[in-house]
Amino acid sequence: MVKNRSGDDERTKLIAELRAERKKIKQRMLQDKEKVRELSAQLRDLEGKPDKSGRSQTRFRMTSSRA
Amino acid sequence: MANFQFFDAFAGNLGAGNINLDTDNFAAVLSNTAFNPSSAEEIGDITQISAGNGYTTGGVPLTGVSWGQAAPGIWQWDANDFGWTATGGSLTFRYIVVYDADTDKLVGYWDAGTQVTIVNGFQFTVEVGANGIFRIGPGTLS
Repeated sequence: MVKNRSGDDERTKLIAELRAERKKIKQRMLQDKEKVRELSAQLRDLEGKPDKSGRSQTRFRMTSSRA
Repeated sequence: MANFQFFDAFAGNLGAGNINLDTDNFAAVLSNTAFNPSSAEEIGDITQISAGNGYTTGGVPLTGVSWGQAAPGIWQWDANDFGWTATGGSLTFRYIVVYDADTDKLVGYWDAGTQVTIVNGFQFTVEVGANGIFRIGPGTLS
């Protein structure tokens, strides 16, 4: 089989370009993710957590809201 | 005790980055119509109960959502309690379905096993346990 050097070079170049482009986009996404994490942490602080002591498993409860 | 079941598509969407358990917005809806957990992927695949009497289409947002390590190798997805109050009439459902409100992808559901009716003036609450909505560990990743 005759190897097409020029075709291989083109392919290698294209792969490198695609990888570089993907890396650039991922870096931008990571920056956005960091900001999103900060906002999520702030939200969790504001929303608080209920006292879950005494119940390890999730359960359903029906109560009268008129009480 | 209520067991949380995953939709088949959940793991795929988690791996593909379509669901971020730590930072996405999530919500819970009520359904009274059976669905196929093997093929349902998005919230549009779920028939919600009719809007009104205290129910809003799209459900209620989950608050206090967190994804953290509960023990070595064990990760827990947690949220605050949530629920619905029937006003002006009753609400009847069987399934409580949780989905990613940012991407519409389904996470999982609780099956009450039978129809539940929230009578006018009553409140139904999902009290999320200390073990969170679910935990994932090495045993579930085989």
